[in-house]
Amino acid sequence: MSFLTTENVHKRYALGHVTVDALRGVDLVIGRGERVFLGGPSGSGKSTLLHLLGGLDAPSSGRVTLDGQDLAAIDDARLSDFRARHIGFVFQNFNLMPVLTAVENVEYPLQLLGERRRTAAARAMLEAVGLGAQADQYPNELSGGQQQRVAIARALVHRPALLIADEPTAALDSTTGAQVLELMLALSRDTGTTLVVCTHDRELLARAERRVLMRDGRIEHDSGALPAQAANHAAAAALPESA
Amino acid sequence: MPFLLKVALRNIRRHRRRSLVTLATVASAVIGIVLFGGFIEANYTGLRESVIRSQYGHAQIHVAGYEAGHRADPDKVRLSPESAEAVRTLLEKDRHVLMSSRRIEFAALLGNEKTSQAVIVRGVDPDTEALINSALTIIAGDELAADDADGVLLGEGLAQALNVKPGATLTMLGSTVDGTMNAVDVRVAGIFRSFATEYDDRAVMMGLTRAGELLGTPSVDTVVVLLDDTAALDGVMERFGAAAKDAGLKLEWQTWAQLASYYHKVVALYDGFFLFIALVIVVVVMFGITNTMLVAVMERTAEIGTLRALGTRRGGIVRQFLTEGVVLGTGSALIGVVLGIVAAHGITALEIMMPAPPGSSKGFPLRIEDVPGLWIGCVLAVAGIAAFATLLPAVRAARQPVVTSLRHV
Repeated sequence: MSFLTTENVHKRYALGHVTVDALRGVDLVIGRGERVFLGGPSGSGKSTLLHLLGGLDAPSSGRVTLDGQDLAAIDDARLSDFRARHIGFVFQNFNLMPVLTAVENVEYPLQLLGERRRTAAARAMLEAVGLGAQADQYPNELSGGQQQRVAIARALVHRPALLIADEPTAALDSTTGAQVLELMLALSRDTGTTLVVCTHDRELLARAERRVLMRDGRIEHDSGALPAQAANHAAAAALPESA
Repeated sequence: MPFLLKVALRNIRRHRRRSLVTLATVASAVIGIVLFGGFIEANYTGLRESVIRSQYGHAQIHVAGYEAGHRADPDKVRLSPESAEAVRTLLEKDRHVLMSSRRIEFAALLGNEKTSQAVIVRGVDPDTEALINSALTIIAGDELAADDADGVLLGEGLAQALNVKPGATLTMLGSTVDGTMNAVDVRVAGIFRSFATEYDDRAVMMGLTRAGELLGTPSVDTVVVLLDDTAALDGVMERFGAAAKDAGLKLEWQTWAQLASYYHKVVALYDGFFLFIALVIVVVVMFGITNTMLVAVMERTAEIGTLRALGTRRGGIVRQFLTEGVVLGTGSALIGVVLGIVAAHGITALEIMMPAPPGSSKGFPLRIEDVPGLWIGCVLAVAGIAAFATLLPAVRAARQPVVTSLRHV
């Protein structure tokens, strides 16, 4: 059943006097609980698509819906609340607040939702990612892998329906990256969270349950696409760049 | 501790050097305001008490119609000895009244065989006037004495113009209430210096008895009243007015504030200086805080993007930076106020003598008064300025697209 969909999504940027078509008609259907990896070369549009799926940006045309909600149809305040409640984010550079301890960083999404027993929940989440002992340390006192695990705990502490991860292993060594990825996959499996990961890593893509490869703002290959969608992707990929 | 406050304090501590520079800027500005405001307030107090205790008393009571008629025919609007006594009795029933004293003022010629000067003579009760006129300094000779009927006090400038010293004999020529010329011999008992050189150039003080002989009347112009507390004046005069009405006395009075136009001019001038300096300081504080918060916002653009991505509303971002700016500004202002108070007490304790101001004949000790209203005003003003200075960068940061913020390096 479709949970997260894009319908003929285009995204156009103005860079000075130049207009860049970052996405050129992307159709994607992701089911609830699916774990999808977005791949493709730099400039292929995967990060742009990820931002649109996470409600961080609006398409120039087309629709992005999450659980039936058109993300472009709600105002900024309601979209912020929507992200706070339904979406978790993991970033390449961890993006923890440097003035907050690990547990305070993990508490933050619960704070936004006005949860009461947030410290206990945050500590439990840190235990789940294996950082119970580091709960009161500041980000600069943690290794990169530990920081990314704190970021994962922060992204999942409020049980979001969707977890968006933008190159979550890019700033880590391969061993730590693999551990972080396993953790993220395990937690999303346990919680039933839909996971969309953007990555350059070919090994990760090769092991992905579903991989979506992008090129020049279009989906070039989608291993989990329905037959009709796969035909559309093939047709779209065959179009010349100026189309 | 509320989350916003905790984050604000930690961010201030995180950028310790920048925060210290802002703190030093704001605190220095506030110290300047506390010192200058306290200095001005001390001057106001000093000037007010000087004009009260060397010229006007706290209030001057006359027969009804005095103000309108005394220039044309002063004898018709004078207090009889009985009325003056009744006024003094009523006044001195009030617990705030330290004393009252009678006065009569007139113009005369004073001189000797070599020279003469047109003078303003004030006939006074010597015993009480010396206490009311405590801001006058006797620079040569003695005070007026009740048992020295011939004695007069001359202003410093007048004594110089007449070239006389204590002990010299002079003749005072005046007009009686009947319009005939009269003269009395007087002896210079002492020479005084008040706060105003113009006054000292023309002023003479003498006992009421001899003044009455010259003018040919036992009546007086005024009963001057001195209180223990200037702030009690309105209440005292309200009670006195009711009592005088009950006693059937038809009177009018003027308070020192109505009489001392010089005081109000000085206050207006100093207020103008203070306002100008305060404005300059406000600009300095505003630029200091704006600069700090602009840099803070720029440095934390990616952090803002993360918070927005996690679901923080634009208002939440603005509130966070506002809290930080206001905490930094208010904390700096509080430190400035405390240091300013310490500095003010230290400077006052040094008893530095200031030169005589223009139009005045005496220097004065440098005093910086405690002005709690100014301290509170400083803290509130800086908090407001900090909020204003932070608002623009904070709103700009919050309105930036999330993706743009996240991409910021």
